[in-house]
Amino acid sequence: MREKFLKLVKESGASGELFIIKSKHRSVNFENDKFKGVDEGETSGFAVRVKKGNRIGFSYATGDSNLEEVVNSALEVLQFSKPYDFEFSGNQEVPKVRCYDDAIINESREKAIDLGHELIDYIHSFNNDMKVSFSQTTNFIEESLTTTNGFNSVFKKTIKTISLGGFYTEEGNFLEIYAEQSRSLNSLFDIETLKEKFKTNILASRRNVSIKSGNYPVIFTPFAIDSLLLPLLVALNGKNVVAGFSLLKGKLTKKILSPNFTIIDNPLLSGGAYSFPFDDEGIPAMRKELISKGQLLNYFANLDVASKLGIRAGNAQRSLSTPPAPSSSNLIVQPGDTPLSDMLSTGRAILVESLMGVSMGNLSGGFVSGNVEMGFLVENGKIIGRVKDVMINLNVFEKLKDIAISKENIWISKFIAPYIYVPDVSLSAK
Amino acid sequence: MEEKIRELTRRNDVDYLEVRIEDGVESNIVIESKDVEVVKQGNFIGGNVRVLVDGVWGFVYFTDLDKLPEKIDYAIDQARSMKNFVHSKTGLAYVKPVEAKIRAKVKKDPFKVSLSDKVKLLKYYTELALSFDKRIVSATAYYKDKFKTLRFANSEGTYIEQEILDIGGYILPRASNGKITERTMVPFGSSETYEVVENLELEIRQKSELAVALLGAEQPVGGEYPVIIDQHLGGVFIHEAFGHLSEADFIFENERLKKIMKIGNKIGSDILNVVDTGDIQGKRGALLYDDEGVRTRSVNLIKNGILSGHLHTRETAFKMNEEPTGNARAVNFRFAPIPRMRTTFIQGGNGKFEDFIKDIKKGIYAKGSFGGQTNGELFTFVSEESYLIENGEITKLLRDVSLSGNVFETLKNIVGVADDFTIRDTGGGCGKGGQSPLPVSHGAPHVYISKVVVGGKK
Repeated sequence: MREKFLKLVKESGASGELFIIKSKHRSVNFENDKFKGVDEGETSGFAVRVKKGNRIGFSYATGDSNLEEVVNSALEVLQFSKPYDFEFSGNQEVPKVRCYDDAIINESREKAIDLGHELIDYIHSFNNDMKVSFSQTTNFIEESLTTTNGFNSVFKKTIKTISLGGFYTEEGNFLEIYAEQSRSLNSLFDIETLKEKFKTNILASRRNVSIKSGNYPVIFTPFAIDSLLLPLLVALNGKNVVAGFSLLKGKLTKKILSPNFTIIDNPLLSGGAYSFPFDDEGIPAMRKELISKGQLLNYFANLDVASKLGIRAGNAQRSLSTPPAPSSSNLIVQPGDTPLSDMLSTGRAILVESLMGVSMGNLSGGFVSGNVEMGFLVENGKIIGRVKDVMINLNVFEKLKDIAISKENIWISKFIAPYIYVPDVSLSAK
Repeated sequence: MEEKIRELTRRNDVDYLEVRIEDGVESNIVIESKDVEVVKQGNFIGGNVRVLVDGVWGFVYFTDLDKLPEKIDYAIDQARSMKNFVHSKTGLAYVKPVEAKIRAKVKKDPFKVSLSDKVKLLKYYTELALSFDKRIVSATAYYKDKFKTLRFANSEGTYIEQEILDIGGYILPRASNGKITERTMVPFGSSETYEVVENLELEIRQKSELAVALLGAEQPVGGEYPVIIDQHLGGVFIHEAFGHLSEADFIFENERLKKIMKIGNKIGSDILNVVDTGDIQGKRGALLYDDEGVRTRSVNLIKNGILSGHLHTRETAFKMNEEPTGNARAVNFRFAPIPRMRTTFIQGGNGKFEDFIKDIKKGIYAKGSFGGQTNGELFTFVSEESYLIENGEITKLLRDVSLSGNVFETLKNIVGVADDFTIRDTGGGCGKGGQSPLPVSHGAPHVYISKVVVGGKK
């Protein structure tokens, strides 16, 4: 297919890039405490980009037939293209990254079923009426990228994800707990952390407490960090900087957040579910410090954004049917120097474990607004009970200027994150 | 293809077997301000086999359709090998086998409009928004269309071929003054005509004006308020707050929830009527047969405040001993169908919007929505345009208003349902169990709720 592609593109007087993706999926599913069955699937497809002058066309198809048709379709839409100032990747050395594990491929279904039963029994030991769902999915992905400029490389990847959900209902009081863990190496799973989360959430939710509207110190647990940092990731996306609406536009090298805040994108992380040796445009993977000690150092960029902002590319990601766009890989928020126990014992605070509705809010405006789906009132180091019917509203660019960061951190799936203490957050209650 | 599928699904060695094959074409255009960011067209094809053997499900999907015979055998083997691990057997509610071939009813076919004309129109829209005011820093136009043919056959003798057209998208102006960024949206969607993409100029101007005005608006003071929600937000509200709770996979194996969601329970105020239907032609939620080949049927979820129905797959209907409703849907061939909504709406009432406003001393009028989310009991949604109501009059524009509450309390706190029901399709879709975006529609009249928690400043 590669040779045919190179020949077709060269004949048309263009340069080109061929992306081929094959994936196999397998999952074991439990719902409402019961083993329900197994799913399996395989898909394949390819996408092409062609470039003539400074214009680019894109097209794709499932399966592996119709190469000529897809190339022609890409050539056809090239006329609509905006101007691009980059060339497809040339021949480059790519780093070695551990993101494939035979142990994940070879793991038996029986083992996953046993784990499902074990986790369900564990949760039931704290709440026998909780309805538990569990799934273990494994994905095997093979990606290859070939360009007329000489890049030609393939990588294999495994991703295993364990998801665990608990749902407890009583009149006027629902409790839903959800957690998942993804890794690309089988030895890196940490089932104890999943268990611990369920145990503490169930025990802390035995009592509901109400709070009054007002400003509170809030401790975001590592499980809530993805919601807290969502507006930051929108602003760090180079595509939004180019589009002009990122609030971090024009702020490179400026101090924008608290001096103890550092966030790193690292596709080289051994065993990370989001690790890769080269990105979806053939740029060798590299660690990127986005914000270091509060200072803005970089944006997420693909080749297009990199050429416009004069920064390094390497963050391109794509699915079969979408052209490569800047996105995050594994994200690491550096731990700080405050012990968690100190954070918890500073009087009265709200511990936030999960938020609901944040992704629909005004993210480009920097807002984290939503419902505190799982949150607890903490007083002098003790969890008093669960707070419900509480809305949170904060602007990350204001509130993350003054924070404490814990020594402890947890590797969830995409994030390795500590606890973050924000001293003054507006909560609205009924 | 038809004969092959029919023949292969005729199996006696299983409890049940179905094959679903989809193929189609889609195109997608994204304009970022003055630049064409994406123009693409593509073909997709894929299929799946779902089988029930000795009460155990097996599910296999694939893109290589030549492998269909071996995939059927494989799915059966899969399910059979799991037999000893499953302790509760399941079954399916009876449905009379059907034979049907449904062609899409298309008014203005998007595939007969050239890519070049679509790009031109969308670029005109983004440029219109940008030219409105300097503070409009960007405008995104997103457009997607998809035409697919679904072939469904099962071991009971059902064979259905169904064509489905789906069009969706939006124009999104963003305003910024360097410190604050605000956005508004002009959405569109249809299952029958490209006309919904046309003639949006006036609305784009209005929404650009609103985006700029929001930069100067205040955030609300957080707390509990009487709230009036408009038709669009009312639709999102009922979809999120009650629609998801009515999906029977949530209920059927949960004895406690079964009691809470029992038919006949008083669930909302007397004036509340909620329906889910596949029947509204032209809407994105229009559907004749679901992904289990069941003819869709309108379901009264709430009638005069009383819980009156659930949304079923054949399995949940069997387990709850209720009639199948045709709500089994899968976003594509990679997934097995689960209970999902179609077009969900609050029926119009007798109230007048003006009277609701007059009734409120201090409250909030919330219009439009960027979506919502629920966990069954708690819901949250974000409005696009909100105003403070003071002493019976709409006064100040507010920015970044999010509303939240407890589903069960809020349904009982509905004190007014107006007579101005509409459904406006949007370009997004519904997400559940990793299956997103599924085309659905929702609508409502103006709805007056006595107490809703509003997020904001102190």
